[in-house]
This record gives sequence, C-alpha cells and structure tokens, in this order.
Amino acid sequence: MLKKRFLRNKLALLGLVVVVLVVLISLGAGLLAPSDPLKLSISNRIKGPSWSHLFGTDHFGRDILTRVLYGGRVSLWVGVMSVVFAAAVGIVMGAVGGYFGGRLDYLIVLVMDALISFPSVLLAIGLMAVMGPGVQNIIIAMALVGVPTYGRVVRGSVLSIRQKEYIEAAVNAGSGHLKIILLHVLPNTMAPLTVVTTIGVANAILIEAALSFLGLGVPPPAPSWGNILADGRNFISQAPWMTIFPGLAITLSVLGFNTLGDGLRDVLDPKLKQ
Amino acid sequence: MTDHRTGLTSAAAKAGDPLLEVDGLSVSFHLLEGVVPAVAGVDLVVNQGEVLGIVGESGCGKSVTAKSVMRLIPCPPGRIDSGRVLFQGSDLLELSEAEMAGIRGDKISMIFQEPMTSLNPAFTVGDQIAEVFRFHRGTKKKEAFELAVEELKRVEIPDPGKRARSYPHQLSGGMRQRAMIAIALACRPRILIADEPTTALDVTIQAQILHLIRQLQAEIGMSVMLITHNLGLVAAMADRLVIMYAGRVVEEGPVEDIFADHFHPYTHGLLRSVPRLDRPAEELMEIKGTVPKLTELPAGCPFSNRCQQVMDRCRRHAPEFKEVGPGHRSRCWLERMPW
Amino acid sequence: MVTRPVRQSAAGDRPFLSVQGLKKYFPLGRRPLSAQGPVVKAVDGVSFHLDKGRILGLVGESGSGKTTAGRAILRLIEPTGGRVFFDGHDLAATRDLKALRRRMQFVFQDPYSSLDPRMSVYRILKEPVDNFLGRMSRRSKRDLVAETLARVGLSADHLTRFPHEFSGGQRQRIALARGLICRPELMVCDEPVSALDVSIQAQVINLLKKLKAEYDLSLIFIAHDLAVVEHLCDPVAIMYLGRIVEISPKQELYGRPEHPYTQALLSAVPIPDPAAERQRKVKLLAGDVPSPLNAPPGCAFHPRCPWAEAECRQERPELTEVRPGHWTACLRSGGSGRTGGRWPLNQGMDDGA
Repeated sequence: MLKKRFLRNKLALLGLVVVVLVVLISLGAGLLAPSDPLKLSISNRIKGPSWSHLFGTDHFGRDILTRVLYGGRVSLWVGVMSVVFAAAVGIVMGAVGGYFGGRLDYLIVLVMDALISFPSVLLAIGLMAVMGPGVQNIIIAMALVGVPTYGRVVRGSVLSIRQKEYIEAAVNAGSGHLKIILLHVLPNTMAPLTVVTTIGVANAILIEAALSFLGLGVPPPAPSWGNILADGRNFISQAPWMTIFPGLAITLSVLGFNTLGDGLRDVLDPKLKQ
Repeated sequence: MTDHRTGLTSAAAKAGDPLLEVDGLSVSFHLLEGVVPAVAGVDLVVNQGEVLGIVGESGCGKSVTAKSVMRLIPCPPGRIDSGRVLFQGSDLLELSEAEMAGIRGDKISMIFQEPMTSLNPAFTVGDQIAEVFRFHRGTKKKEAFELAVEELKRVEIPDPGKRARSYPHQLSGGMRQRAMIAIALACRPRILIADEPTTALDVTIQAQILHLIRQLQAEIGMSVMLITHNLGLVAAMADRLVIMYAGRVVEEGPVEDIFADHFHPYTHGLLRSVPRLDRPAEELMEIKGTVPKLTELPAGCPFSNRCQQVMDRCRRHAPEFKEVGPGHRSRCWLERMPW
Repeated sequence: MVTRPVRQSAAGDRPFLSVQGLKKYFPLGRRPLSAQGPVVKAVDGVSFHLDKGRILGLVGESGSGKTTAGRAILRLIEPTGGRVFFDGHDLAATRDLKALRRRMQFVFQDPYSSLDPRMSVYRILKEPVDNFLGRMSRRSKRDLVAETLARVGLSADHLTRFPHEFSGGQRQRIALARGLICRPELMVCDEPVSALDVSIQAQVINLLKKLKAEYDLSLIFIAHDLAVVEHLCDPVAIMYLGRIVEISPKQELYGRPEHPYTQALLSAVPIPDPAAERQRKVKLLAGDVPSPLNAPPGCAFHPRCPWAEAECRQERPELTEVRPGHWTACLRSGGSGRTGGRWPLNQGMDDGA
C-alpha cells in the first residue's frame, strides 16, 4: 500500500530518480571518467569545455569531469557515512532517553541541546581544527554535529509510541525492555527517521562542501566537490567552468535528496489516509 | 419519580402529516479503492411530531443518509447519484448552497456524536449559539448573546450566564452535548437530526440528555430523526423505526410492532443478539459472519450470505418491500416467520 | 486503614485472587507523588476476592477507575498502595513477575491500538509464547499459534496478515488469542466488546463463555455496559470514583440493588423493549460524573445522592454485607435509614466538573 502511494507521489519519484542517478554515476566513476583525476597536464591548463574535456580543465590541466565524478564518490561517501554514524548514536540516545525517561532522559536531552545550540558548520570547523584534516575526521566531526537531529526525532517518536497500548500489551506478554524497544518501538519510528536521514544526507553534502571549500575538509590533491570549488574560486572570471560544474553537481545531489525526503514525508504522513 | 416520557401519548395518535420525504436516495463515494455505494435506494418519511429511529450497525448507511438530507456530504469524493429529499415543497437536493444554508440550523438542525469536535474550540459557547440567531434572524450581537443565555437555561445548564462565556473545553461531555442541543434548537427547527447523540456519553448522562430531548420535543413540537445502533435507545425514544443494512432499508414500522412482531431475519438477529438487563439468563443469538464490504455485496439480497433462513430465490433476486402490517413493511422473500 | 475482606462464597481456603485496599494515585504535573500538589486518585481503596472459576464484572462510568484498577491488579502499572494476592503470591513483593505473568493475562480494550501495526498475526501471537514457553521447538510453537487461532474462530491463513487488514471483531479475537495462548488461569478483560458492532458483540461474548469453559478460566470483566456484564458475570461490582460501592450476586443485581448509584445506573440503561420501557421510571441523577481530581469528602456519591445526609459528607462508608454475598457501601442502607421510595425530582444541579 505504501509502495502504491510512493509511486503516485511525483515528488518522491523524482527525488528517487535523481538520487539513484547520482549514486550510480559516482559509483561508476572509475568506468565513466575519461581520465585520471590527478593527472596533471600543464599544456592543457584552463581550457574551456570541449569534446575531449566535457567540463573543461583546471589550473593544473586536470580534467574537471573526471574530478567531479571522483569527487562525487568522496562527497557522497562522507555524506552518507556521517549520517549513518550520527543516526546510530542518535537512535540509541533518543530511544533510551525517550523510553526510560527520568534523569537519564534529562541528561540526554541536555547533551543534545548543547550540541544543537552550536551552528553546525561552526562546530564542524572547530572540530576539524582540533582533529586535523582527513576523510575519517570529517566523518567523525559531521557525525557528532548531526547526532541531535536524529536523537530528537527518535526521542519524539519513542515518547509517543511508549503511550501506545501495544507496548503495554508487550509487557503483559512478558517481554522485557530491550525486546520491546527493538521489536516494537524502533520499527515504528522508522517512518520519520527515513525522512530525516534522507534530508540529512543532503545537509551533510553541503557541510562537507563547505568544509572542503574552506580548506578544512578533504585535503588536496584528492578531489571533492568542495575543494574543486575552492580551486575555482580564484579563476571565476577566466574559467567559470571550474566552479559551475562542481556547483551543479552539489546542487543536483542536494536537490535530489531533499526532494526524495519531502516526497517520503508526504507518502509516510499518517494523516493523509484516503 | 421522573417519567421520561412526559407529555407523550402513544405513537399512533400523534402521527401527523409527512414533514420530510426521502425518495429513492442513492449516494456513493469515489475512493482510491473503487466506488463504494454507501446508500442504495433509500425511502423514508419523517412525520410531524414523531421520533423516527434509524437503526443499523456501522457501514449500513444511516449516517450518510442523514448527512445527505443536510447536504453535508463532501462531493467529491461523495456523489448523490439519484433521489429527492422533499421538505416544505422543495427538493433539498436541488437547492443552492445559499438556500441550503438558510435551512440548516433554522428549519432542520443536526447534532452529532462527538460534541468536542463539532463545537468550535476557538469561540465561547454563548457566541456559537448567538451566531445562529445572528445568521438566521439578523439579530444584533448583544441581543443575540442574551438570547443565547436563555437557550442555555432552557437546556438546563446551571449558571447559564457564566457558562455562556466558557469555551467548549471547559465544559464536561454532558454539558457540551447540551450546548450543541442549544445551538441546534435555537431557531426552533421543524426537524432535529440526532446522529448517535449519546454514544460518547456515560449512561447516567445519556439518560439526562434523552430526557431533555424528549422534553424539548414536546415543548417545541418538532420531529426527531434519531440515528443509533442502540436498540434500547430506540425502544425508549422512537415512535417509528427504520432498520438499515448495507445501504438499504430492510424493515420499517411502528416501534412496538417491530419489537414484538418483526419480519426481517436481520432485525430478528439484531434484537436477539442484544443482552437485556431484565433477562440476564437469555442466550445471545449470533448472526454468523460479518457485514460484507459494500463493494463486495452478494448478489440478490445483501443479507443472503448471513441469513439462517436463506432460500435459493434470495441469492438471485433482491427482495422487494412487502406490507406486513399497518405502516409496517419488510424487504424479505419469507412468507412466514419461523420464530 | 482497615479493609474488611469481601467474600462471595463460604469456601474455607484462600481465594484465588485477593485485592485489598488497592490504590493508584497519579500526580499532576511532573512532580513525584511525595511532593504536595494535586493528585488524581484514580483508584482509592478497592477490595474484593475472586474465587476460582468465577467471572467478576467490574462496572463503572468514566472516572470510576475500573480500567486503572484492572491494570494495577496485574501490575501493568504500579499500585500506589494496597496488596494483591494471586494464588497466595503477594504481587507487590514478587521481584520476577514474568513467571506469574504467564498465569494472569490482560486483554486490552481497543483492538485497534493494542496490536502492533507492524507485526503479522503470527508474530503477535508468538511473542508471549517465546517469552513464556521459550523452550518449545519452533514447530510446536507454530502449531500452538495455529491451534489457538482456530479456537477463537480464525484460520491459519490469517497468520501472515497484518492488524489493519482485519475488522474490529476479528482483531478482538486476535487479542483474545494472544491472552489465552499460554493458558493463563486468570484473565482481566478491559471492555472487550465496547468498540464492536452489536451483532459482533454477541459473537465475542459467546466466544468468551466458550473459552472460559474450555480453558477453565477465572475472569475479571471490566465494562460500562450493565446489560452485557449482567449477562456474563456473577458477581458484579459497581465502581464510583475509584471505590467499589456495591458487590452483588447476579440474580440480585437487577431486582434488589442497594446503593443509590446502582439504582440510578440500572434505571438509566435502556431496555430493548418498548413495552417494558414504557413502564419504567427513570431515576435521573443530577449533575455530571465527577472527576477523580477533586473527589467529594465522605461518601464520594453524596453530591448527587437524593438521600444524602450530613453524615454522608463526613464519613466514608465501608462495604457492609447486607445480604449473603451482597455488599454495599452506603451509610443509609443495611438496616437503618432506608434508600428506596420516591426518587425526588429536580434536585439542585451540582456541576462537579
């Protein structure tokens, strides 16, 4: 029944198509890319888009199309992994706090509120400054920043599910707390979680781009959409293609994930019953 | 001791002229799953000064019928496929929305099951009653509010002056239902349609509300269309009864006749399956099976797949109405009742 | 506070279930109970005994505390006070309730919300089996689930379906199956038929009777519909504002109710028989059903009682046995000042809301 609604929802379908395209293309970077992202070619510097270099070349003569494709891999990987970790921690915190309540919940909410009161990009920058560069660290920093988002959603869901009669029925049937959380509570929080994680990936891509743009993210010469943008910053007037194409890639992916998330939210909205 | 049937003589003596006639009404809903025929060819009459009980289980179409009379069915997804609703010389289904708005609350009023959702939480109870006067009678604001307080007094809400300034959530369930009755009866309508008016209330409050409705009915001289699934309620309140099943009327007649001498097997099943306070040892009869989906009704008589007395004929031809007593008709092929 | 034991029969040994002075208070707001502040006294001293094999009906309107009492008895919510002895075991003192839970099951009121919408019928029924009969083989468990489902009148091909695919009556059967599957000895059913259509109610009531006999159950049947309770239960307990006001054997309930509230309640229930209805005189109660937030002092019923005296405002009546097996909590019944006679018209309306 949900599938039927999903397929009817144009927004969700569009988002899904774009996301799948972006993911497939990035995964297939090795096959699709015309050349090596690190290969320098001084003679080919700052050439506009042509048949041999569809997106043009950068100031080191590297093929931008190739760099965008490989950069996509990194950006998507960082985006998805940071969300996975953030969600994992957030789910545990939210479920435990929401289910057990009391002082534990109070503490958990305190921690999440503290995290969320920092603007996420600033916090990420701060963490990166402390930890140093590298894809690992970026993922950790972004995950930390993202925890409250998922924690709050899960906690809210758990608080309302905890009141439901089938939870009491599970106690009556002899199930212990852990079993109830795993079997009854969490599966019923999946709906809002799906929406938040999808949009979270969009957000993560943007944050990663921002970090790399500022030089705090993926270190060169490895490409990521953010640092390709950073490179192009100095050449905007002479070689606008150096910023346009990575920018388009970011825009497309973010739009795709956001649209998918919005669509999912519509599809899963329980109020929209026929 | 309070007699809750104050001022009422037997049903036959009070039978007046027809006030409202529903003629061949058919209503369907066009949903994602398909077209649902909620009401299929219903005929009913509400006479002057009587209480007509419409009884059935969920999905039988009683609420949809009532709401169709008031033109409260959203179209789409609803659609009135055919029929007429005759009231004071006009067909209500043909009137414009503006004309209908003039009738609702003034000539025909309706009260619902859940007063919390039918009352506007943002306005005081007094304002909501006053609105009826302002809309239908053009009364000025201040005077309308004073009249509203009078109406609250009439429905026996204590301290009506103060209560008029209360919001719905500040009142108890019984009070809210009284407020809703006040709104409905403010302009002394000819007909009150009550859709499960006491289902959400406690039993002792239900008794109070029924007593009130009876009293007001006698005072105003209006007719009541009482929709419920509660057979005890109609035994206490109604003069005539209409039994509905799967969007159709299956039996109709004076209330004593139906309870004593019913003809339709569904009526029989209903009456025998309800536990009676004065006969605690009686076995409860079961009607086998469940109400079929309106989109999957059996051919012929819609009750044929659950009927104990089903005959071959029932499965092939939908039965027609048969006169079985004065003012009493039943839609069944059976010649004689086996009970 | 001394609670007198209420016995329905003269059996010598201990009763199967003994509830003594059960209390459940809910603090308003986030403060714990110890802090001063408004308290909802949902259950305020409920005592009764249940003998094995009997069906006790627990009747009341909203605010009576009957549902809370049912849950507190099985310790689905923690009682604030009082003791519950199940087959001799003090439930409050038992650390590991799991072993006892198998023997005492609760069937919830709303068949739409007591079944996890994301679990198939098979998984719903398997949950208690896994918990209580964990050592059974997978195949035996499956057989047990199928067999229990058949006993409630559903078939094996319903196992893979989800709750939303069933009607209300069918869901209630599934809930009953879940309660029965591990063969409990005591079942507390909370309004099991209230949400159902009239003709389905009869099916489920008859089913309950059959299952009670098959499984040799003792039942507590919680409901607001007196006609249903009277049909099924013996004895019947009437609750008002967290307390039991009357316990009566079935045959005496309709004919000889003692407590004024019971009398009013009985007369308010309409009988599906116009001739009978015409002869009845309804005893109307003034005012609204009060909220347990501010229970009146003394006898909780006195603001609405036509025979209330000064003493009723001060002293809280205890259950007294007025006839064998028939107990009532009214200062004016059982000998002295009688209830009964004319029910006065139009008493001052006291809005307790």
